[in-house]
Amino acid sequence: MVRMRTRAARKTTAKGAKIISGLINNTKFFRTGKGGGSWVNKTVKSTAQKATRTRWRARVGNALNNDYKGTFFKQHPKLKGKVVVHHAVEQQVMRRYPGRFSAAEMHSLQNLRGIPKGQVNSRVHLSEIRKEWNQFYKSHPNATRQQILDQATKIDLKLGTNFNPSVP
Amino acid sequence: MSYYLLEPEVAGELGEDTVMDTSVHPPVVTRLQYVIQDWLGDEILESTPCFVVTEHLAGLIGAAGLTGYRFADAEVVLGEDAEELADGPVDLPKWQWLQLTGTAGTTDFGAASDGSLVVSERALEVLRQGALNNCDIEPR
Repeated sequence: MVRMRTRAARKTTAKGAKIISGLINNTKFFRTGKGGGSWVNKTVKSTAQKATRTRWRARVGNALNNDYKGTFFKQHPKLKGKVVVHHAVEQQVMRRYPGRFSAAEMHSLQNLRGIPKGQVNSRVHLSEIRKEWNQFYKSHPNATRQQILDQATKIDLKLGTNFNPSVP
Repeated sequence: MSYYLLEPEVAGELGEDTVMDTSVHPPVVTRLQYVIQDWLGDEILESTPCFVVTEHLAGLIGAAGLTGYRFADAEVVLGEDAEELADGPVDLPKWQWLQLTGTAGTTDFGAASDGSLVVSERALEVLRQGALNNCDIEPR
């Protein structure tokens, strides 16, 4: 059993945003407050976590069906209603780069991420992810499967600690 | 005249009903279905190589006599998670497909070699009359 410790908000920044010093998902801290604020880049100190991040590579598996939400919530039933399921490699990749990925790979658990609901930050966050992909489509007209997975890895490493469950 | 490179809000993606030739770059889209996954409220949206603007903004662009564009119909629909992400009903305005026909750095609207939107100062002033809070703007 994981022990969860929380502490009340205690610090107000010049912009009125509060640093919530609560333990979120056992590992991560985030900033919230007026205007939503922005995610805080937290230094990873744990050797084990550093190693996990170094080794992390986005990948896909093979789903038995296209019901990706069903696939995700079967694995993470307690997150139902708390997260929106997002594809790490975007679904439109199948249209932009025909033949690189199958639908079974696209909707596999390995390609799914949980985005916390009800947080302004999550929406800003998703917007940032879509912009990153949009830029990728512009700069990689003939992206290979590996380049696409590398892009998903890059986004996971940049923003994935805010997903639920955290990635990596 | 000054020109600006714009990266508008990307509120979603090209839908399944989009007809696109990916053998060229930027891809040539002949039918556009823009699926909005989460709209933060800007009146110009991108999903490369396409741009859509609200009817309100299209009216302002049309009235300003700007060059280098034409409007076309597009199907803009809400994705299945859009309202869940917005935590409530989303009232979508009507949208027009802003097709770039001009030359970047010459006409008011133009496309860079990778399909990015380049606008003149006066076009930017018009775009700023609409909501433009999630658009990255750089002098070119």
